[in-house]
Amino acid sequence: MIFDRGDKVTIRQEDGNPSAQAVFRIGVILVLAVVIFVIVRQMMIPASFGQYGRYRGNSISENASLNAAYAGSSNDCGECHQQEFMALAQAQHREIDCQSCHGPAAKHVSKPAVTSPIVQETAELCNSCHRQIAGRQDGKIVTVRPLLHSGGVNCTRCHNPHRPQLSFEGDKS
Amino acid sequence: MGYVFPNELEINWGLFIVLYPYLTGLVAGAFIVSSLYHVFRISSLKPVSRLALIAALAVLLVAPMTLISHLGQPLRALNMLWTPSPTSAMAGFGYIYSFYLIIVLLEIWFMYRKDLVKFAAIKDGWTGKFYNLLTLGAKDVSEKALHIDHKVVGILAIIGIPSAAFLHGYVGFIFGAIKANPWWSTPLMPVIFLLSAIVSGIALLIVIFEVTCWIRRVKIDFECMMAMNKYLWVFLILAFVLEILEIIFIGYEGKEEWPAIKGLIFEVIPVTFFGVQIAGMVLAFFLLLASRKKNISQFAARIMTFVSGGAILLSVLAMRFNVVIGGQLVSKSLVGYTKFHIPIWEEGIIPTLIFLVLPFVLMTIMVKLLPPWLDEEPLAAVTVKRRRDFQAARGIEGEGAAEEIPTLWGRAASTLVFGKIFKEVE
Amino acid sequence: MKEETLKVKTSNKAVEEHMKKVVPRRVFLTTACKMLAAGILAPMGSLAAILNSSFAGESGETSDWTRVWAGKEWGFIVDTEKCIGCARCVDACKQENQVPPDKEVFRTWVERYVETTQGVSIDSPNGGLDFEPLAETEEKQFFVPKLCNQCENPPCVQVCPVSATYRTGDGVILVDGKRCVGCRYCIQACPYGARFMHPKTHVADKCTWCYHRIAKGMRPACVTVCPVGARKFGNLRDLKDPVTQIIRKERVRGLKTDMGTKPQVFYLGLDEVVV
Repeated sequence: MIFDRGDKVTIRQEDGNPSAQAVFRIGVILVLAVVIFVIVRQMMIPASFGQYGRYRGNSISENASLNAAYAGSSNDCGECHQQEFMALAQAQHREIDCQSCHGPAAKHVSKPAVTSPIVQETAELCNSCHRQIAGRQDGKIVTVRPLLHSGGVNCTRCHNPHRPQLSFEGDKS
Repeated sequence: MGYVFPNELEINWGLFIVLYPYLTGLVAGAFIVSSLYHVFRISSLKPVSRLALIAALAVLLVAPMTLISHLGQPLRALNMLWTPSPTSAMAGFGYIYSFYLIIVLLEIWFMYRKDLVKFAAIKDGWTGKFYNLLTLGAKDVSEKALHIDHKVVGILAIIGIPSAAFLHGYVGFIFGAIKANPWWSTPLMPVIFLLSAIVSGIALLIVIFEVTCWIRRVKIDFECMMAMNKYLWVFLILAFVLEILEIIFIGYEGKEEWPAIKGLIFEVIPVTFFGVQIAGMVLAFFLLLASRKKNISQFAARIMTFVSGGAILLSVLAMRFNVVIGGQLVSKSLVGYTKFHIPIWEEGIIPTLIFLVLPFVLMTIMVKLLPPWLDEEPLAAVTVKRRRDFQAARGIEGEGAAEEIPTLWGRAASTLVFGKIFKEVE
Repeated sequence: MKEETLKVKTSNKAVEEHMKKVVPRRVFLTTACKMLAAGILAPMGSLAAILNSSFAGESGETSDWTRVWAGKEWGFIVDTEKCIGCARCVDACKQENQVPPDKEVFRTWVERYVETTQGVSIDSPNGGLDFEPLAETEEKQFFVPKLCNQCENPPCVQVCPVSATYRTGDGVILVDGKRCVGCRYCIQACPYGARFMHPKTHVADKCTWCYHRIAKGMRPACVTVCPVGARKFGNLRDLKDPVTQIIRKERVRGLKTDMGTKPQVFYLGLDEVVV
């Protein structure tokens, strides 16, 4: 060591050059740093990393196991709400999933008593499809100018969304 | 303006990412100046060769702070080292940066080792102990040892040049390789970044050199200043030509992205582009040219060089802004521009200014710790005994004195921390 | 240090001591070398293990997900002729995937193109949830829903520095929310603007074709709620799948195909002006 003359001689005899002391020390520190880094890195790689590719394999299940807010399809609703389901099946809205208007219903399907999907009977909901705007041609869908059409009255006053073509049926069913 | 995709309303890379290439650019540039002396033996640059490295280190330490504070999950920053993706242009950052940091640290250490041993011997109390620690116990300052140090510094400088070039060219690559962004996507990007980096680094040194000489009230080395002036001018021309050529090229080809880019530089960022980036370079070009005329006094030449340096520093900062922010202002739809609102706090103007000042604070501290001035600090300030200690440590007065240790604690500390390890090692 | 003094100091005893010291030092050096070699080889070994496992996965000895993925390659069709711009999909997507409804970030959105005398006007206010009527024109006007194209050659996966985004075996690009550092490089790299920084989780977020739904046999939420069937989802490996049938029989094209990304969302009736 530096404080010990004997040691200095030792170094000199070892490689014939006492002056390489600094280089040697730095070298040892660097090697140690690399070794420590490699070991730490090895510990820091997640267990499932590389299971399916260069990513954390468990991440797939984490993504796939998220809860769905929307139920699979209207069939789930039809199991209980048969009347509405049958009515809708014959109407112009037959291709529309219940949840397009009623909103996400997965929770309601699994626990009907606990939650019920929000029923949106607002004109805004109907307008999102039927309001006449640029880009929405009549050929694709029946469009109206809400104010001219009804004076802004709620659509369900006249239309039953489950059988919209039958007008003047009133609020119910 | 026009149509931008809904997710583009937020500018994803803000001011911190403007700072990052700016700061690494300064590092690369400063390092290359120091290497010009160490490798290419341009002796006129000797007065700034150490200062350049200290400046490089100070800026290098701040640069990753900007990146980490920008991350959405700063605590996961090291994932970049644990599971880097080999296909990512950014993944190498951790490794390249670490490598470069080690090179700079080593070069500084070997360059200052003699001084460290000296300070450890002559300084009292805590500072002495601190220097003692920094020596890592390697206190051999014989001619032979110093010669080896010198050689190692040379080798490190040689390794450092490509590393510096790579570090910064690589930053350019991170932008240049994004095909989704028409303002970034060009193979010229790494070269442009590298050249502007060198330019900004030289400019930084000019400014620091002038300011430090003024603060220290010493006569500035005019030859050194004019050498930097010369290199700044040469690299400035290259940087300017490439930056302009790139835009002319896109315009001349006139492909689908040109209207978007034309709109960007003429309508969205004309002030920072023409007003600062281009104007700064042009101003510096003419000032530097004029400062070399024979009928210009030394004082005027110095002022002109200094002003050019400042102009370049601003110009390159604007260039980083125009690239990083400008590139994101052009919507990927190519038919609209996002607006950039400079925030105050969160990745805003205030932390940005702090990050800009911080390197200089660090530099001040480092310069205090490791004086880069080559005019030898006189030993007169310390006591006769301590001076003898130092000379003893250098082996000047023979055995007896050398047995005396600098400070008791200092010896204990370095023995504890490094000595123990090395005792076992050796 | 002068050599003379050193020589004087070197006694036989010193040499003996030196010899004692040299041996452990050599031992140390070899140990260090071994450790270093082990340190370098270990990651290589794990890499080999990775390669092995992925090959093993393809050659029958399957782990869970490779079995699920077998015979699946999801594809998506957007029929711009059918879309009426109601943005039920945008709304459903936000509810299904916890995308903050009050923030300007979207996993899917609907664009409107209206040909005017000044050229094409494009808009997508609040992702299409807030379309204004606009003056009607006789020229072409239509809606184009956008979502992640789940590219076969995804730039976002290429640039992710921490391997936190990847393409699954059935062709969906997912984000590993636990490893993402939030550097936003993927957001920059996506030519479609499909990615964004999630305002709450502070990691990159994107459309996953509702991977949690399709993994359970359901359709993506946007497909479920679309009232006009403008969005279709199916398995491209299944030749009888309606989606595969459409792609095989109709003229479809992807967005920005010149980027070499090989988008897996196929558009029907896509106009040249669509960005």
